[in-house]
Amino acid sequence: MEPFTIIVLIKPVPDPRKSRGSVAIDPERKTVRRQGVPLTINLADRYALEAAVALKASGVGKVVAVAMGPPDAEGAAREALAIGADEAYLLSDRLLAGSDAVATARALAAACRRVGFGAVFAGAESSDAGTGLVGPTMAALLGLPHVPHCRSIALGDRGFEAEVRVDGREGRVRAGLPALVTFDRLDRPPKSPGFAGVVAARSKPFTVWTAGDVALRADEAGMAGSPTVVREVRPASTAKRAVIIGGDPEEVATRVLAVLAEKGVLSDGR
Amino acid sequence: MAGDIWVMVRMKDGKADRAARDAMAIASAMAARTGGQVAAWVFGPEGEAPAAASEGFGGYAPDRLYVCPLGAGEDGPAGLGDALSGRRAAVAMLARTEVAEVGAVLVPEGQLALDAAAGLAVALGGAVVAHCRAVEWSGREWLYLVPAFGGLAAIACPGSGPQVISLVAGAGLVGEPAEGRTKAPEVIAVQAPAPSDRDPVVAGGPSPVALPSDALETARLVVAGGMGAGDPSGWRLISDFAASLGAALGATRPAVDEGWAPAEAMIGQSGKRVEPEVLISVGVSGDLQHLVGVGEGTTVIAVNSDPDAPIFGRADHGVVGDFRRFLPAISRRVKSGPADG
Amino acid sequence: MDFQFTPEQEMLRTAAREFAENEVAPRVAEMEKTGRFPMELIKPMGEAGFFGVTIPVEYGGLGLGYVARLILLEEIGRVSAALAMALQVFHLGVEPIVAFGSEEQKRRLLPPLARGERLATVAVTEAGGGSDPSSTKTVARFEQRSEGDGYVLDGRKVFITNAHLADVQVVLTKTKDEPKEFTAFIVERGMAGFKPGREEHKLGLLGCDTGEVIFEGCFVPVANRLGNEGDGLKTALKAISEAGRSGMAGVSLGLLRACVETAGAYAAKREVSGRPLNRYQGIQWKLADLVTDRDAATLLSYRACWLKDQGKRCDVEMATAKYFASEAAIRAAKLAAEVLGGYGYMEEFATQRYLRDRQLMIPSAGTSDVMRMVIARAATP
Repeated sequence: MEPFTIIVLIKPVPDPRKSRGSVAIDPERKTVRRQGVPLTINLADRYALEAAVALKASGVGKVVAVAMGPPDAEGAAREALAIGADEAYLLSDRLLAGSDAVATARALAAACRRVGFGAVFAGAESSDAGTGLVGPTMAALLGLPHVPHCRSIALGDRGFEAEVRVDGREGRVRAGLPALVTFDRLDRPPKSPGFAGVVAARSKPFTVWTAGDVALRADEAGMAGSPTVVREVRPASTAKRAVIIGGDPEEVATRVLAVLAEKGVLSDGR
Repeated sequence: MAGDIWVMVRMKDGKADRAARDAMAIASAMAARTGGQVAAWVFGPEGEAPAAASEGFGGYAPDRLYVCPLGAGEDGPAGLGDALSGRRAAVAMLARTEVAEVGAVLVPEGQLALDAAAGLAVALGGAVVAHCRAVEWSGREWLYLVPAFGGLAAIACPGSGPQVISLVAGAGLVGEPAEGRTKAPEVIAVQAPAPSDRDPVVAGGPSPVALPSDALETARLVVAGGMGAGDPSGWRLISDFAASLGAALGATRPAVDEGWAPAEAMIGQSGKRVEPEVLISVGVSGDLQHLVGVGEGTTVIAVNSDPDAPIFGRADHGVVGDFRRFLPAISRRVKSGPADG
Repeated sequence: MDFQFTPEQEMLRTAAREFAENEVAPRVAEMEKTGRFPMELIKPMGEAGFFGVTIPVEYGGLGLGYVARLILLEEIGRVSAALAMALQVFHLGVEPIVAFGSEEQKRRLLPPLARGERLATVAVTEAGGGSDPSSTKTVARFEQRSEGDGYVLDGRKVFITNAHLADVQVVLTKTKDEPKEFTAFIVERGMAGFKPGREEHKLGLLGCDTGEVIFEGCFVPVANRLGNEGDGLKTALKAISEAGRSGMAGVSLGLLRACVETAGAYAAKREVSGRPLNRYQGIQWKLADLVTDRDAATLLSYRACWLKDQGKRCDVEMATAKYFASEAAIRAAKLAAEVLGGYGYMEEFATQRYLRDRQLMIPSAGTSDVMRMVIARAATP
């Protein structure tokens, strides 16, 4: 098999370690504000990236990270280089702001076409929006087989063979090249790039692309290119529904156990 | 929006699953606005499917019922092949769009539906919305309510293309009555598109098995912990508490992100959906992304030190205060036996 | 003035923190239980470049310098002071070779040290004292041999960190019976007459190896003499005063951060009489002292390392950093344990470990009294 390129899609998301509880909403676009917030690579995307880098040992020529986001997302793209991507592209343009899943997939698909690839890897879901739509939509746009919820992957003569866990079922799946594979978050932590990875990233090419660079028209991008629009964000209802159980721990224990007994959920039937 | 309303129906144990009735009710209300028809799509074996599906529709029968034998015959009707055939489902549906205009497509949760939804939206130039938990008529347009940013985002699809909406189980209809429909549907058999090299296939070797039914999803009593656990020792206390009650232990996404609980324990939008008799929620703020994973029928007891936490808006019983004070007292009383209870 | 870390330094911190939290944290309980160094971490730490952080690029290291090393030690120390201590001494063992080694020694010894295939330490302290080298009794006697000239070492070094792990040890000896006549040698594992001795049982820093090394007629070829005869004291003191003191400042910073985080998190969620602890003034004062000490130690330590990376003189600044950070760590562990009340003494809370780990911050690389001797010179006109 000829060496080919794997593109890994990297979503810059608010860093849960640095911004917990302080996610801001853009009042106009009604989307998560990413500008000025510490950003990092969406966790599931890291497993996709690790899998792609590991496949370099079995003949993958090049791993290219492609991200879309504000200029601040450069750090997340460079993180991808530190983890082992050979090149990184950041698609960053005001025109892209406010993109929904379809517009995001369209922009990323355009970037993928410009890079050229034998496979596209991505996280199955992002930690902030979590629609799980971008992967399937890109597969449809690029006309690729979609291998969903991959846990581990190998490359054989006939393409990829992946362990997947889909809708409560588990098994092995094969897909020819080119293909789009989406990865689950795994229970093991992602691998640290180490200092060596950070130093190696210095000399790797990093490029910022505008919408024009990937031949995306203004009416295809951002809010204009998004078939959905957020009309409003309604705050979660804070109306009290709960009956508050007061008192010291012993009194509370009595009342809680009474509820459990009434519902018949205690193992000894109390 | 104009045209027909399509509903993709998921079969479970030989009949339309519980979510189908809610989807059919929503479709009925939407079709009343567009003046179009309601068509249901069943991807499964041909024989008994129509009757089995109709049974699950409650009083909301479709005008047309398409039956397409997809997935079956590969590795069984509920095998992995079924979950991987979303592209082919989209191709089968697209072949029928010449017959009438499609205004909206309502699809259930699951990979087949998600891939089919994306395929339809791309091919028809439509919009796609995931995780919709309620459909609301605003007086002007349909709004799809999706948990986002700690609240509910009301999403509209102002374009002319079809609106492909992925509904969560138990999705509701707001601001518009649904009229019952009882006329028997016209049943239309649709051939399954042949697989192509654009479809992943189930690989040989050991046959894929359904994962053992998850303890969390079947438990009658669940304890769910959140960021309020504070640290691993707090988490251990919650975990010991769950064990003392014989309860399954679940977690919110942040608690999983902290590494306290495995991803398998995640309850919510990107995790599991549970519907135990009782859920005891400890140190959980109550974001909607988490609460959508808790069934409507579940009695929730919340323990949280913040009296303003949104969880108390969902909980039936609330304990305001430090869980470290309360949980051990409950565990002790359970261990000490019935006489003390 | 710019008090910001560069984007690359932020990435280094994230990388070190992820390693510490994902790889080191799960092993702390085992280290505490067995007292053993987690050998399985050597390979991933080598791949991560943690051993070669200060080794120049031309000798296989990363050439990142002292600020990067401080970031590393701070982040590892935040999770395990014991591992940070071991790591800082690995670096310390490398420094004399980087600073004073011949080209041949650097080419031969540094690349495997940078990869973590071999480990290093410095052996100076003897039973008679650490900061007073004049009591050194280990002797090196020149000897002509047919296979090549060398020195025969006899003596014993104590309290040597990584004594049983290090393959390469920089050893301070006396070559003449004159007060300042010291010579340093690079002793390698496998040289006849060189062996590790007793393993110490310590109060804290469990999982960091400390013990004796013994030289009994140990023949060291001339090729392994570091610098010239008589250069030994200068070699050892420079390594200890720069790499050693900034290293201990780094371990102390890690401990300080851990104390602030543990106490802060506990005080935010623990309630007394219906109010979280951190709304009580008595607790607020402790938290304020913890944060102020952490920040002051941070600024002193990064300044000293920045000066070193700029090639500027930094002996006094290294001493103030080491003095303040180590004493602050002593105060912090006490305050953090107090914030946790009775829990602070219990095994499942980390503060009891901080209380045991903190004490070694003081004697290593020079006690506070020695630091003050160095610092006082800055006030002398």
